[in-house]
Amino acid sequence: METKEPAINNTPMDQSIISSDLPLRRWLFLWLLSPHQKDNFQKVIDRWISLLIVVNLVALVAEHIPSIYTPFTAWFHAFDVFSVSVFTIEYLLRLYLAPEDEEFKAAHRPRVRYALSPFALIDLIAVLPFYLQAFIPLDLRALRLLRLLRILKLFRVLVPAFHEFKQANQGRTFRQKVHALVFPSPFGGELHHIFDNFIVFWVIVSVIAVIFESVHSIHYLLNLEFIILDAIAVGIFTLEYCLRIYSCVENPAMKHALGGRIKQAKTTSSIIDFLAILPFFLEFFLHHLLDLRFLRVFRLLRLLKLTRYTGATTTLTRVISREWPVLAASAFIMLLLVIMTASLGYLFEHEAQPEKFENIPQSIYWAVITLASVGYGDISPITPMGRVMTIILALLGIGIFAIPAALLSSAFTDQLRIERETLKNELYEMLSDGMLDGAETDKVMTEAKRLHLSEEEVNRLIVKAKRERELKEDVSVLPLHKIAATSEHAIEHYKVLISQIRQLGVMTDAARFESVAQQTNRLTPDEWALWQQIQGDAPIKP
Amino acid sequence: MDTKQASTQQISPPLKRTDKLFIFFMICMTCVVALMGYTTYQQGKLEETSKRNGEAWLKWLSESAKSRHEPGYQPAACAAQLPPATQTWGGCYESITAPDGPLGSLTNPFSGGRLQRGVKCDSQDRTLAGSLVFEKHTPTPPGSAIPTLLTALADSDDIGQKFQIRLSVCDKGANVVRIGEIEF
Repeated sequence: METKEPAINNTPMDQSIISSDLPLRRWLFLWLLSPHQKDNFQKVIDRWISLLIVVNLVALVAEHIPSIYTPFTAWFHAFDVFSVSVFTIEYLLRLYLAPEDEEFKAAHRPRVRYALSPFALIDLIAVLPFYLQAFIPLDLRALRLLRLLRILKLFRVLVPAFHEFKQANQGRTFRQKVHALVFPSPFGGELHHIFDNFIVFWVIVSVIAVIFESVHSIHYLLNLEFIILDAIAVGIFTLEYCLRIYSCVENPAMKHALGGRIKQAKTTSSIIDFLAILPFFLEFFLHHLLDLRFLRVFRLLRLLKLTRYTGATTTLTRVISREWPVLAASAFIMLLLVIMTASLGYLFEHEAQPEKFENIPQSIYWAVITLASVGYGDISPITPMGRVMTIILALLGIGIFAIPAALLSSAFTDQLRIERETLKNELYEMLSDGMLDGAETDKVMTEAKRLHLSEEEVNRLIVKAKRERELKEDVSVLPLHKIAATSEHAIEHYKVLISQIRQLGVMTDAARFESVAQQTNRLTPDEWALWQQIQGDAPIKP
Repeated sequence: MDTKQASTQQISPPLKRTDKLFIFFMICMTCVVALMGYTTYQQGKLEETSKRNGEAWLKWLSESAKSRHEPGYQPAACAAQLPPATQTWGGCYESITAPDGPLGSLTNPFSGGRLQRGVKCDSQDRTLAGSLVFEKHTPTPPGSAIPTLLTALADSDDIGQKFQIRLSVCDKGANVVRIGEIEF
């Protein structure tokens, strides 16, 4: 069967080669700035520049806090110089490479045209104040305000993403657009990734803030800043929660207006989202009645919001649920051992150390610390029998307490293997038409990302699945009744047989074959006639 | 998720009534969170003012600690060389916080009234918000595990000799915020 070559060359997994024979400017453009060239550094550069802009914004905010700015003034200045240097290099590079850009190459003066484009003007505004202050004495506050304009550089990433999103969602309802923005879907595009990154950024910022709030000296100095940060984070997370609840009904599994939303609200990720904002509201409304400071620690739950963006927790949950019976059995043995150890410890040591081995519950603490090989040493046996028992039980504990860890680790590896196998099977199915289309490629890439597979590994899997499919399509290895079951297979098999007979005729000694066949009557006249027809020695009878 | 199906139908008008309601709700939520944030910020500012009060006290105590042992020190109630019977913390505090005293202008940002003292911050008693809490280190008998004990500085306490003070303020929830320690 003739199969089409899988269109893996069109997938993002493959390398695209930029010829080194190209003129330097073209070569540089393709490597650094071309959005249409695969596997170049354009996306990496955009990502790092965006990160630098965000860090600049954070630095600008930090500069307004004297307790941070005063001791680190030199560092802030050094960072500003570094940022301006990077932005200047970027600006000059884009200016130099403008004649290679599709958008400007047709213009009479591409560089002038580029310099006057909105993005270039924004880039210029981002660095110009720094150079201007060398000639014109600028007020520090005005300078900071102008530096704030660097945030506009983010539009270089945001605007194309927005246009792509708008195009992909043309003719769709507002709610569908919201759904595409907040949930993973084929309509989300880059804007959805930006939204995700924005949420991740605020999760990290707010968790760091909660951690530092617990340091008295930092909290004392930055109390107001922490309040502002928390309010902004809660505002963002609240809106995100509302957007998710509102648009979840676009998911076919949650179609019902009320039931679907309740179903969404009951999902683990939504509960985490809700718990992430709840302490703020509870503390605000109930602080007059109760001391709710302990709720602040629960803001750390925001960290769990990140589980939405990784498949690791899903894998771990699957592993635990799959291995639950074994884990439960192991936990039971551990429990048994702990109680026995504690009881024996109490038996041997109570008289010698009544204050330390006062009762069995108190001995349990010692038993767990001993069996888990922690050994704080605050409680230790002193009687010979107690010590002998401790030696035996400590050795036993090493093995028994290691069982769940070993179980989990092996089950985790198994689960990953199963999931990779599943991906391979999916690939196998996808290659049934001989190629991977865009949607299939996206699905494979998403799954590969979840399973932390590199491009090389994905390509290897694709090749493996392709080979297996080819092998299966080789009908000659199938039993005859299976070949006969499909007419297409039967025809293909017939053609293979004919070609094999022809091959046989070419390879064998024709004269000897003929004499043996005719002298010994090994072939009937019909068989001999058919042989000759297949070999082309005799005309084919109608 | 198969959202492609839904996308094929052309929608008119682009914003339905429910969409408009949702947008209105989102605006309301933004306003509510912003208002709550602003209120919390205002409360935080009051806490900051309380801390500044505490810092002003600490600064004054630190400066006075050097000079109060010299003759002719003012306010006299806080001077160290007075006869022991009249050198009490209550007298010193009153003279400092008197309208014409060095820290007489300080007010409690939460109540707007005069800056009061508390024995300790107690989250059950919210009226203590913004109060100052003075504690002194009392040496324990030789051989004790802890060298000093922290006790509330009472009005009748003798301030004739040097002693260690810990100053704290109560925040909006009447929880303690430590300002610092000084030898007075």
